[in-house]
Amino acid sequence: MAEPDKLEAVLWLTFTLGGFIAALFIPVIIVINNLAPGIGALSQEIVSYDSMLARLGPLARIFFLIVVVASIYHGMHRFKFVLFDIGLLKFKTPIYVLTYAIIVISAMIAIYSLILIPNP
Amino acid sequence: MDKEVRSYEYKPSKTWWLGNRRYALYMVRELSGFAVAVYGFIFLAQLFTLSQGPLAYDALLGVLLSPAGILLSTILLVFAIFHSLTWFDLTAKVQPPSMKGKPVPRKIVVTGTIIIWLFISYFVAVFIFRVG
Amino acid sequence: MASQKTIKIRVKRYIPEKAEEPFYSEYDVPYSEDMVVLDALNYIKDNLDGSLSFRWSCRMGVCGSCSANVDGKPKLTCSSFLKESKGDSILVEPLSHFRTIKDLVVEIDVFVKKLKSIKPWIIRNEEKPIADGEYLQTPEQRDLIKQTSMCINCMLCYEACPVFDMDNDFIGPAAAAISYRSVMDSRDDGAKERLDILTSKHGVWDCTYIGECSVVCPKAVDPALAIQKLKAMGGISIIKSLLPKKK
Ligand code: SF4
Ligand code: FES
Repeated sequence: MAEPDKLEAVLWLTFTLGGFIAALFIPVIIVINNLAPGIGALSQEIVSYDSMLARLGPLARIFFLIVVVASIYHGMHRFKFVLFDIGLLKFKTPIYVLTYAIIVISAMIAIYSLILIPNP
Repeated sequence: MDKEVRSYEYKPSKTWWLGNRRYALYMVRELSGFAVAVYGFIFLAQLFTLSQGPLAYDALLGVLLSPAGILLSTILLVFAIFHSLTWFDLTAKVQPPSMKGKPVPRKIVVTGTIIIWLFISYFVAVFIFRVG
Repeated sequence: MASQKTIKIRVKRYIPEKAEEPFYSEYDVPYSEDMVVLDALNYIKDNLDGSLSFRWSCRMGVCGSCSANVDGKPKLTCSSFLKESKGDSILVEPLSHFRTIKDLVVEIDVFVKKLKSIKPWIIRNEEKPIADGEYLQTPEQRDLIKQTSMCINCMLCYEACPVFDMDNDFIGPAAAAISYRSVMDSRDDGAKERLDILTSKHGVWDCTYIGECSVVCPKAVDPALAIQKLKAMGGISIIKSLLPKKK
């Protein structure tokens, strides 16, 4: 009867890891990648096409892949529960499918893009 | 127990999260998690346009650096920092760090986490974004 | 003597023989500073309306049977003073996350089943003969389980838990907290078995750390945090079981 739910456990641990990665890296990335050049605190040169390419060595690519997927995973996992909270628990299965489909598709787009981005 | 016993059942509330200040704050906390995903999508879009060449990238960059884009980044940043703080706080509560078998005082844990966090942010800025 | 001050008590009633829907009754009860809501209910039952039903026993916050919503907040009626209420009337309603049987009396089988399912007793690989005396603990070992041991099964945390309201199968705060206590108990050998139950489909995974359970608990148990710790312990033990065994 009391079988451990291995799937939920793996989903939860990934969610925790994702939350930690997002907590560490997302604020600084927003600041440097969007806010600072936006308000002129940093030159917009920092986010130009060429400087983006210049920083995208193999390690940076892996780093960005992890951060993007971790953030999307973490946020969508929680968003799923928000939907339940506002009374949509009766659609549990479709919401699960949709949430994780979005995550998988995002991860695939990220991998595809990072492979395709030309080397500096 | 007699299954025939009559009883009254209340329907689960769909608006409980408006019920008190703490429930509402919980909702804000959860939405801060969602905001992190929203930024994930934005960053994903940037990576995607990078792969499609300078024209596509610059078009998106124009939107992101417009006043509306800046407003959105600001909101997302506030939520993201809220996410970071609540997340570090919870982690420290679930796995309280200890030294030599003694729990580390909360003040030290909080300041320590923030210092490490700032240091890592600096590291990302300098070594990944090559700021400065 | 000055005329006795009174206070209005509004009670949400449910009498299945009389009406399909709950309704409210109002009573004027003599007021004094040292009275709790349960005293007022007992006054009503003894003097005004013998048909009013509610549960109580210890009158001192130990038995956990007198739970109700007082002015919309989950409380032990024996520990809520009349003077804590602002305004000149006090609203008393049954716990709404459980079925009402009559007036303030709710159906608690759903909770008792959960309590049974987590085996709230000490599990030993080998019982010690009685002649060998008690299972001893050091003060440090005792400290680990002190807080969660305080639970009195009042179910107020279930009333505060929206997740339980949505899904009655969810193990919920108290049962998880009590189980956490057993997992951490130095005399208990059942951690593996307990974590299996807690990490099953209707175990701890649906908790989203809303945290209201810990706010309403009259015994300062922190079920919300206990559940997060159980997720971590349970999750890690499941991952370990999935990894290939090292010799
Ligand atoms: S954990 Fe607290 S609120 Fe919940 S049943 Fe136990 S004593 Fe009551
Ligand atoms: S009557 Fe026992 S806890 Fe209130």
